Amino acid sequence: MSVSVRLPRELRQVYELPDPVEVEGGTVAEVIAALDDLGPGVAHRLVDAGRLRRHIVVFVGVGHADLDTEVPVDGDVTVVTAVAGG
Amino acid sequence: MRLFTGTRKGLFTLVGEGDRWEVEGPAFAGWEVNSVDHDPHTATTYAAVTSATYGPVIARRRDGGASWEHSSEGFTYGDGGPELVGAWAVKAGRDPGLVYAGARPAGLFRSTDGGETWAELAALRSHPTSELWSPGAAGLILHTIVPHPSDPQQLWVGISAAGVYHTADGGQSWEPRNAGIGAPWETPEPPPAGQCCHKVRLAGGSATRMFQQNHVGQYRSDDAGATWDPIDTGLPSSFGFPVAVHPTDHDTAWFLPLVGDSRRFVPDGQPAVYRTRDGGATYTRHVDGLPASHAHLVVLRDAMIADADGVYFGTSTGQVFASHDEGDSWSHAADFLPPVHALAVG
Repeated sequence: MSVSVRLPRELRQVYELPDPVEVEGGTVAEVIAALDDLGPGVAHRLVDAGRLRRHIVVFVGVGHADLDTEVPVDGDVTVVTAVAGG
Repeated sequence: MRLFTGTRKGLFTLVGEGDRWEVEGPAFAGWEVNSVDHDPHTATTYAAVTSATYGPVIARRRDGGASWEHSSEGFTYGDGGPELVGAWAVKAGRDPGLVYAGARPAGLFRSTDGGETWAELAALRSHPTSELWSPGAAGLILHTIVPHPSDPQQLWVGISAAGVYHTADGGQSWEPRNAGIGAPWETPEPPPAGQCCHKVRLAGGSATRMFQQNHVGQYRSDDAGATWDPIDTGLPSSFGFPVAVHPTDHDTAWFLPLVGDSRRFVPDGQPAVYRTRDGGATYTRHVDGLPASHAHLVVLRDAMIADADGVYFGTSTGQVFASHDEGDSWSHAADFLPPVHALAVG
């Protein structure tokens, strides 16, 4: 009974996390806190000032999510980053 | 020797012996490195690293260590604050484990455990004059941290565009130190704060003389920043980003002026380093070994430094130049790097 989290490869490499990451959590915020237990510091790469960083997008299933969004048991969470730069 | 080279896309280490250099790295590939500092007392290198996506971290590596570590625990304005989007300065303090970091939006953080955890020195950001602060082209950034050479309670910071601030009590209170420098985009008369300090350094061997490259000119202070006098006579432009200082001679400094304000590259496409040996009264121009023409490059605020062995600068076009005769002549240390943002010797 866990949530399956897909993270961008760059984050998985920095924090040495598997793909997917299996954690417990009833909301996106709880899922991110659980990720931080496995990879200390990873939460701050996704969240600051009490909200998702400006270039981070989270989906629960196929729906846009924020930190308060509930995550169903056995749900899927996907973290996607903005693509930009040069 | 090692020349740590922070770029727009990672941190490189140039390992040099005489005029031979080898390039190692990058660490943090793809992430921006705006400031680097090596603390010889703890044999630790610190880097201010920013991912456009994942935000800023302060990274550190012990000499001989296999890899870089980073932490941002406490490196935040908290749930109610603005999002921290950039790390712009890192500087080891005088006590072992004491490290300062500057951020965007502008604020100052302190670690007393070698960068493991951080806490904001919030009195700076809540200073009454902060209403005069406004973002420059790179945002509202605290880019320069200058510890006092002997008094651990004293510290200067440079903020664009807020100016120079000084604390005499370890960051519990601050005062702006910008008298004599204008901010014409704000008011006709110089305000107490809001100046666009591009770089400020304490002169070698001094606790009171400072050199500053400001958006509106080159300046010197002989009273620890309380008042500033222009020293731009003999320079081709009042605009530029870096100033480097001699490690022991308080009269010697180097500037690399740019055409201001919207062009922001070297005059006539020819990089030239201007050295003063009399505190800014006169300058000599040095181009030996530098491109003679068609080099419309930029040298940014942290990309020119000096130490006992040499003077170094890195360019927006990915070159690093080194001089071992105090700027008389220059040679390539590296080429084809990403745009260079910061240098540090260690």
